[in-house]
Amino acid sequence: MEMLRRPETARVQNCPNSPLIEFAGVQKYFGPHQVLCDLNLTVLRGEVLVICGPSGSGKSTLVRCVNALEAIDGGRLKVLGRDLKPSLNGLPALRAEIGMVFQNFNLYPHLSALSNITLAPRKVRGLSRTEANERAHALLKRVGIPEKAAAYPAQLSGGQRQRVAIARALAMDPKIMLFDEPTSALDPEMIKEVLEVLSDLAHGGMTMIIVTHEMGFARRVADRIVFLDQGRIVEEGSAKAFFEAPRDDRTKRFLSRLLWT
Amino acid sequence: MTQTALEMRPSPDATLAVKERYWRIALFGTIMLAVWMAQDLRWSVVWESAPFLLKGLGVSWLLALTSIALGALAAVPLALLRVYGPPGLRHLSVLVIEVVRATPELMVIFWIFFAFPPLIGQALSNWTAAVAALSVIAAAHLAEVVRGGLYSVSDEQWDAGRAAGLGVSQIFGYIVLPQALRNMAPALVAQFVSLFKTTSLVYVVGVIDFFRSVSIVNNTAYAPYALYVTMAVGYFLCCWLLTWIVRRFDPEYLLVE
Repeated sequence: MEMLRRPETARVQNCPNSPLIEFAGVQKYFGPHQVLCDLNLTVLRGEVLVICGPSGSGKSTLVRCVNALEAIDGGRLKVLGRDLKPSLNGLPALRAEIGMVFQNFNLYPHLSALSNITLAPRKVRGLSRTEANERAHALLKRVGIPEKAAAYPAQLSGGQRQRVAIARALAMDPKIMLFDEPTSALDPEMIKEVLEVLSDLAHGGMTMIIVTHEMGFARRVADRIVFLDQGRIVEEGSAKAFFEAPRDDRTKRFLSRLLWT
Repeated sequence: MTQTALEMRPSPDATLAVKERYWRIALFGTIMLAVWMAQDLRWSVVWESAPFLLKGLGVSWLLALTSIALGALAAVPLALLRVYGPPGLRHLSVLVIEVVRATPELMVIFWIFFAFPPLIGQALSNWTAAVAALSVIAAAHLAEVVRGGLYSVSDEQWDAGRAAGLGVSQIFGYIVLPQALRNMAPALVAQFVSLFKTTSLVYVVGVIDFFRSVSIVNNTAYAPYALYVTMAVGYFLCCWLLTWIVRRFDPEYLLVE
């Protein structure tokens, strides 16, 4: 399985501007309710894609489909060259290549910040404890909280928790990073420290999908912005075009109601 | 006027001192009463039969610890089947758990001692029957505690584990079970204590535990007060000790939010 997977992923990796994620006519239902309608979307290597839209528009679901936390009900979805069919084997191996950061952090409350970061590298990648700890310390330094290695999640502020969660995702050395409203559960003062980490990542060339309501941030870092409403892409374009010349009425209404703080 | 009224009221400290004096008088009175009553209670009977009683106490502990261990081993798969199992096995697990929980413990003991041997064509020793019955009872009750523990861990923890590329058994072993166990600690203590007391029922199949040994001594030497006070204190101390032991294993635990 490993032998089969590697070359394909490697080929995709080596080709610049190759699509890492391809949605083709993707359908997703929760019961009778259609969450994603015939969705077409491609994310290229190194691209930062911001997804915005009102609550219930399917933003989170879209992101969760990429690492198969939600299974799609129709269409095709290719991630890192692999077709996300229900029959796909080696799903954990694929997920290991995709980092995810959640709205509510989802840190493991019974483990220290350090152990939160080292668990998957040790158990999935087979790193030794020393090796994993070393990398975890480096990552904590990178997200600006090197002194919090021994702290438990409950002893950290929201912003610190989210930065540990980002470090945890980065520890797997992912090819894609998914952010599902990473700042929505944070106090205003803490949003900034998390967004700074995200900006650094974006400038470092990471392929990212970010669901966010932070429009100032989106404008600064996004290569492309997608506006989602009722499971459909209403508007898609560069950050400049999206904010300065939105074409769709729905987008115009959305933008006019934003608070530019 | 109000000023004087306030001054006349005793200060909080003074009220406390008065209350404390009443408590001391009550405590002293109780001790005197106990001493007066105890004179005639034939504590010598307890003293003389101490080896026999202690042996019974040892049997109770052995029964409790064995059945807790065996019951816990069976409880985890039972709970897992009930929560995550496929339809057929899930229903079987629900059936076992609910039937055992909803029938008297004595009945389970009788069932295993009298009704089970004909089915397997072999008689069970008193000990085997007692341990088996208590283990079945423990398994059913502990399975429900484990189930509660599993539900106490949010689905988001599963998401986090899956997103990191961990397999199902890894997520369960490293993320869900450790949290579930810690959340289960208080309920586990309650079940262990309850099971320790349930061991007092095995006299019906002829196992001489603490309860039975006290009764036997009382049947011959008749000193009910001394013996049953000893029994009450014995069970209390054992259950308290059991609680204390389990609490030792409950590490300092910090929950998010």
